[in-house]
Amino acid sequence: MIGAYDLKFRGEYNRHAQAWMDSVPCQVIGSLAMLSTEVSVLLLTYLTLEKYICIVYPFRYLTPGRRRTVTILVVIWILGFVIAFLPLVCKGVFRNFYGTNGVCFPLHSEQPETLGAQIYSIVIFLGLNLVAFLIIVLSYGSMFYNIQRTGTQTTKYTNHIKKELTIAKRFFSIVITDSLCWIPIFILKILSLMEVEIPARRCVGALKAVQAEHVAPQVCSTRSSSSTLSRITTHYSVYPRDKDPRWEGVEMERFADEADVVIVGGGPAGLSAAIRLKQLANQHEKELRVCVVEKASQIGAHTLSGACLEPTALSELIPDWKERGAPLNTPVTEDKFSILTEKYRIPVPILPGLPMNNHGNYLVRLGHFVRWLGEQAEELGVELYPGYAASEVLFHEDGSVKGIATNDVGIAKDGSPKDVFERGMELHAKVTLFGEGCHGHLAKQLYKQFNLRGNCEPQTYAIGLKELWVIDEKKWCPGRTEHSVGWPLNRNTYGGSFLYHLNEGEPLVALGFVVGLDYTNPYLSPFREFQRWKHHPSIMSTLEGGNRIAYGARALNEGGFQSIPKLTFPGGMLIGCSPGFMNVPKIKGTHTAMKSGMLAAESAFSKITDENLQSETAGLYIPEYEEAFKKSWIWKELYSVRNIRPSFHNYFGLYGGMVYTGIFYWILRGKEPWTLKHNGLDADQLKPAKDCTPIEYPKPDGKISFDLLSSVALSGTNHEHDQPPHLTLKDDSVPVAQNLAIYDGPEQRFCPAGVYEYVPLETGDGMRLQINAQNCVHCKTCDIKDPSQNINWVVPEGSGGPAYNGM
Amino acid sequence: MSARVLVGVKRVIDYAVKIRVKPDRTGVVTDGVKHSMNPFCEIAVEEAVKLKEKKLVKEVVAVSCGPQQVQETIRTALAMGADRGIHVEVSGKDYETLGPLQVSKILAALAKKEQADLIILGKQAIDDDCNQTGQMTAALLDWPQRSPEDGTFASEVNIEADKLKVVREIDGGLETIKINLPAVVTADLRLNTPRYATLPNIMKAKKKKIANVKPADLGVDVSSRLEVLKVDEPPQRQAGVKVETVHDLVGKLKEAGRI
Repeated sequence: MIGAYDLKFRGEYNRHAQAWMDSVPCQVIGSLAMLSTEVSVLLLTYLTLEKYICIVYPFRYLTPGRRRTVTILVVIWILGFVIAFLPLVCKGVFRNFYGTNGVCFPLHSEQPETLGAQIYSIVIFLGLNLVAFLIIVLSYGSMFYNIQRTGTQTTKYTNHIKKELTIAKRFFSIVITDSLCWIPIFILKILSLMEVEIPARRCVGALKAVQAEHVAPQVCSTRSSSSTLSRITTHYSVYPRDKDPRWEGVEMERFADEADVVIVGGGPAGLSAAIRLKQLANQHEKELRVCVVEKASQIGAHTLSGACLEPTALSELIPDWKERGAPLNTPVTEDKFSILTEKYRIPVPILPGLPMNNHGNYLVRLGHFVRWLGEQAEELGVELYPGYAASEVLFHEDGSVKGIATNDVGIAKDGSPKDVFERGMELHAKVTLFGEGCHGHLAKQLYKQFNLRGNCEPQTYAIGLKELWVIDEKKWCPGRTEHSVGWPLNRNTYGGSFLYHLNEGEPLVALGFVVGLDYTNPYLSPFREFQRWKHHPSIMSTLEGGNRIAYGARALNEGGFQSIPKLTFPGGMLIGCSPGFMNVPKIKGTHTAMKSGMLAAESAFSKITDENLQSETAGLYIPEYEEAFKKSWIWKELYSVRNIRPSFHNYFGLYGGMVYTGIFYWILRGKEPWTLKHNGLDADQLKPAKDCTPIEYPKPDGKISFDLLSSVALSGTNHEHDQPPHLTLKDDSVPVAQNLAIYDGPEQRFCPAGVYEYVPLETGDGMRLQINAQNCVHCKTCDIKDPSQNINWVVPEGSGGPAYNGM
Repeated sequence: MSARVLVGVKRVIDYAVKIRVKPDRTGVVTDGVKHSMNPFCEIAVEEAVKLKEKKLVKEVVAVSCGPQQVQETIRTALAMGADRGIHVEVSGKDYETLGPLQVSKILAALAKKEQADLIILGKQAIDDDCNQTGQMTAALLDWPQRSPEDGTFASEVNIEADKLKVVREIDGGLETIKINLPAVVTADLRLNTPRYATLPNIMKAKKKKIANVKPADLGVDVSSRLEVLKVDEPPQRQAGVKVETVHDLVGKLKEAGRI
C-alpha cells in the first residue's frame, strides 16, 4: 500500500508529507503494520517456547493438544488486534499515534505527541517486544545447551530430537533475523528515552528502513529515496524553525518601529514614490516618516538596465534635474536598428512614430541615476536603509498588510543559529509600497494572498545580460544607439541586442542581449547566445582592442498591458517593475516605473493626511491609485503597444511580428479593437530535451567572448558563505528527477551566474544538484523559468548580491 | 574602570569587488565602487565593544580619516556599539596620498587629545596591505613596548588592573604577554567574529555624535613623502596546457627552459 502511495507522491513527497501523515490510509497502514509486527513477535515467542519445552522437557509434554494450540493462536491474534487498533479507538489519549513519520510506523524515535502515546510506545516496544525477544534468545540458548548435553548421554530419543533440531535450526535463522531487526530499535528507543540527541536524522532514517524492511520489504526501498538524500535546502522558509530543536531557546522577539509609509526596494519606482511623498509633505507642512529598505549594500548597486531613459517622468518629479546634477550625460544623437544574419547586417529604417525611436532620450548608467535619486530622497528627509532586505510581509489581524520584517542574520549553512544570530526588524506602516522590481519575492506572496492576478494574464519575462566595455577611442561615438534582432537567435526565439555609446568621461559602451524566457529549447543558454552575438562582424569591430569592465544580468517583464495585476490591496500597493509597466517595443520601463511610484505616492498622501478618514482595515486600502493609474499616460502608452510582443507568437516569429508592428502599430497606433494573448507561463514553454537539438556554442576566445565564471567575477557579487542557500527548493528531489531527466538540467544554462550545477554523486551512480548560492546576481530567472516551478528565490542576508557600479 | 578606547576604522573597497586600475595608472578606480569597513577594523571594533560590555572600559571612540563618505564607516562602528565617532576630514589630493605615517600621526594626536588608554586597530587594511599604522602609532606615542611589534596580532585581549594581557598568534603557537597601559593593540583575524550592525542599531547610530576635525586642528601635517610612480594590474594568467604523459610534461618544461 505504501508502495502505491509512494508512486503517487514520488518526487514531490515533501509537499504532501503532513497531509499524508494525517490521512486515514496512513492510520490504517500503520495499524496493519503494527498488527503484523506484534502478531509475528508473539507467534515467534509462542513457537520458540513450544520448541523449548519440547526439547528441554521431552518427557513431560511430547505433543501439545490441538485445542490448546488453537486457543493460544486465537488469543495472540486478539491481543495483536487490540494493540494495533487501540490507538485508533482512543484518539483523545493518543492523538495521531501512527502519523509521526512517513512510513506510518509508530516507532516514536522523535518525541511523540502525547504522554499516553509515549507510554504506550514504551510498553509495546520496550516492554512486550523486548521481553519476547529475550525469551526467544534465552530459550534458543538453553535449547542448544540441552541438545549438546543430552545428545551425548542418551540415544533413545535421538531420532525424535534430530527432527526437532532441524526445525529448531530453521527457526534459529528466523530469530537471528528478528534480533538483527529489533536490536537497533531497542537501542534507539532507549537512547531517545534518555534524551540522547541522535546525531543525524539520516541514522534514524536508516534504522527505520531496517524496521520497515521487517514489516514489509517494499516500504524500505521506496521511502528511503527521500530520506537518504542530503539536504540541499536548509532555509527556514522551507523547514520552519519552531519545530527545530537547534532553535530552542533562541530569542525570536523582533524590535518594531512605526513609520507612515514603508517602501520595499530603493529603485526608480520606490525612490520616486519616496521623493514625491516627501515633496507633498513638505509642501503641506506635514510630518511624514518614509522609510525605504533596500537589499543592496548601496543604493543602485543591484540596478541593471540598458539603459536608454525617457525623461518624461523625471521632469515631472524633479523639473530642475539638470541643475541638480542628474547623471543624464548622453543625449541620443544617432539611432540604428537592424536585422542580423550570421555575416550581414540589414539596416531597418526607424520611422518617426515607431516605438523604437529614441530622439529626446538619454543613455544612462541607471545604477548611477538611481544613486542620484537616493541622494535627492535623503535630502528631502527620506530614511534610506540599504543593506537591509525585506524578507517577510506582516499582516494585521484583519488580513491587511501591516508592514514588513527585514531578514534575520547570522544563520549557518545548515540552518542552525550562529553565535552572532540577530533577528530582523519589523517596520510597521499605514501603507506599504512594494517596488521590488521584476518578479519580487514578496509580490509573489501578495499575488496569492490577495488574488491580485485573478483578472490578468500570467506575467511573461525575458532575461537581459549586460556588459560595460572601455573601447578604442577612435571607434567611440557618444550618443549612438544600436539595436538589433535576429542572429544568433532563430526566428521563433524573441530577443535582441543593444549597444549604447556612453559619454561618461572615458570611451565607454554598454552592450547587452535580451532573450524572451518563453523560449522552448532547453539547450539554449542566454549567456552563450550573448557571447556569440559579440562575434558578429558589426559588433566585433567596435569591441576589438577594448576591455570589458563589468558584467551583470536581470530578468525583465514582457507581459505589458495584458499582464498588469490588481495594484492595490488593504495596507499596500505595487509599484514599478514589481507589477510590470515595461513598454516592451520601446524597451523602456524606468519612466513608467517612476510614474507609477509618483501616482502611488500622491494617492497615498491624500489618504494618509485625510483627518476624517474612516478606514475599514488597519492597513489603508487605496483604490485611488489604481484609478489614477488608469487615467495616466502609462495606461495609454502600454495599451497602444499591447499587441506588439504577442504578435511575435506566430509561425514566422520575428518577421511576422515586425510585419504586424509595421501595419497595425504604425498605421493604427494600437487602436485596433482586439487584444492578442500571450502563450501562458514561461515555465511551461520548455520542450523535453529529447525533442530538441542541442546547440553547439563556440568556445570563448578570452578577448571578445568569455567564460561564465570570469564574467560573474566582474559583477562583484558576493554572499556570506555560511548561510542557508537563498535559492530554496520546495522539494530537493525534483531537480534530478524532473529537470535533469526530462529537460537535461536547463537551470545550468539559463542561470547567468553559474549558480546551478549538476555534479556526479560521490558514490559514482547518478547526479545531484549543487547550488552555488554565492554566485547569484539576483536576476530571478530561475524562479521564473524552472520548468517544475520548484525554485523559490528568497532574500539572502542583507547587502549580499552583486556590487554593480552604474549598470 | 574609566578607560577610553580609540578604534581606528578604515573605509576600503569591498573585498568582493574586482579592482580596476585607472587608465592613467595613477591608482585604482574608486568612484561608484562598493566600499565597506576594512574587515580587520571590524574585528578591532568588536573587541573594543566586548571590553566595554565586560565593563573593562568606559567609552569606545571610533575614528576614521577621509572624505565625507567615511562617515558611513563610522556609522557602522557606532551601530556595532561604539559610543561616538571622530571624522578626521582629509579629502582630495591629501586623501590620495594618505598613508600609514600620516594616519598614525593623526591617531597619536587624537590619543593625547582624548586621553585614550588603549588604541585598538586592525592589523592591516585590505587595500594597501601596509601593516604599519599600529606600530608607527605606538612609536610616535612612545607607549610601552617590549618588542618591535608588541601587542600586535592579538588573538585574545583582557585587562587586568592597569595591565593588558594579550594572547598573540606567533609562528607555530600562542604567546601570552602582559603590557602596561596605555598601549596599542592590533587585531588579527582570529580575535573574534564581528557582530552585525542591525537595523535598530543603525537607526540608533544616526543619533550618536560624530565630531568633525581637520588634521590642522590636531597640528598634524598630512603631506606625504612618498610618490606613486605607477599602478599596474597583476599580469594575466596564461591558459594552461594539458599533457598526456610525463614524457610530454618533461619535454614541455625543457622547451620552456625550466629544467
